Amino acid sequence: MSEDFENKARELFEDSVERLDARTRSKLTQARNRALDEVKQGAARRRWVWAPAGGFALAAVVAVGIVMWSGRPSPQPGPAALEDLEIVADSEDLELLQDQDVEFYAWLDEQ
Amino acid sequence: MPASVSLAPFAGPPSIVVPTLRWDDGARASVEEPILEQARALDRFLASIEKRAFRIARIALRHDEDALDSVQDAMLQLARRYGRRPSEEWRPLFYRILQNRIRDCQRRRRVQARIMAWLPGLKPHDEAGEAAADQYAAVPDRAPLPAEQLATDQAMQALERTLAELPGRQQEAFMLRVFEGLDVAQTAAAMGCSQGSVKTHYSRAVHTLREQVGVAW
Repeated sequence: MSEDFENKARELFEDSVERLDARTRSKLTQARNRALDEVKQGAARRRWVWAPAGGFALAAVVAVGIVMWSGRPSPQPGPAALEDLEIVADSEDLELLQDQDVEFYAWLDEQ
Repeated sequence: MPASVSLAPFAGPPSIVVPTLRWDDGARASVEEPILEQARALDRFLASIEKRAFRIARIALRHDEDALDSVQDAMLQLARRYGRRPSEEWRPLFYRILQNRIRDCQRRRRVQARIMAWLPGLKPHDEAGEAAADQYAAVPDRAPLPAEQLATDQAMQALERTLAELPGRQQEAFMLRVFEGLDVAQTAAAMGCSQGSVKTHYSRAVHTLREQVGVAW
């Protein structure tokens, strides 16, 4: 009994929906198009809102990379290592050490 | 002795195919495709409900322009605030927004009516005047009604009149359940109340309507 009433009410309602006048249908279509424009414009706005944030993030990553790269220990040898290399490379100095009085140089070092 | 070098005729540089990445084509399409797909889905959804939504708002407000404004506001709000939500959630969300707009409109009218009561010099909302100013109002948009159609119209008018006299929550529950076909959970979400309240409002609405309209049917 209750279902009959509801079905009848639904039928009447659907009938009235189907017979909506052209002007109302047109206005509803216009309203729908405005809502869809809102979706597209909203997406464009979101893209522009995130663009500066993305730029800042990229700049921050680049800056951190530069700082880390410049702070890395240099692969070049230090001054002491260069002196040792010079001594080893210079054959005359080795000969000097062999030929001259080693004890004299030790005494000189103590003075 | 110099090595002998055989000189082959110059055939030009080897052809190297460099893949060209054009933002205007693939990249833009890949970025915009989800947005377009979302817009298409929303278009389908709104097209499927707009006429019923208008009739529901029209029954509640008994005024074409106010009903159109309410439906348009609900569409815009849904697109703006909930367009990115899953499409299964759109229907209860849309009707929740629409019911809020209908209540806002009814509240505004009550305030206006009180102000008009205090200021007798001002005229109340003149529907007849608006209709006269509307260039489309005089355009006939349907053929003359046969007797059967007339009976249907009269039955619907009786239902609308009785529905309009129901308390707001009963009216909402009945229209969302019967006209829009929402289930109890969806109706509760749309009305912002518990499922138990929906059942109570709905049961009272059906009881009253059957008493007052059902006999005439």
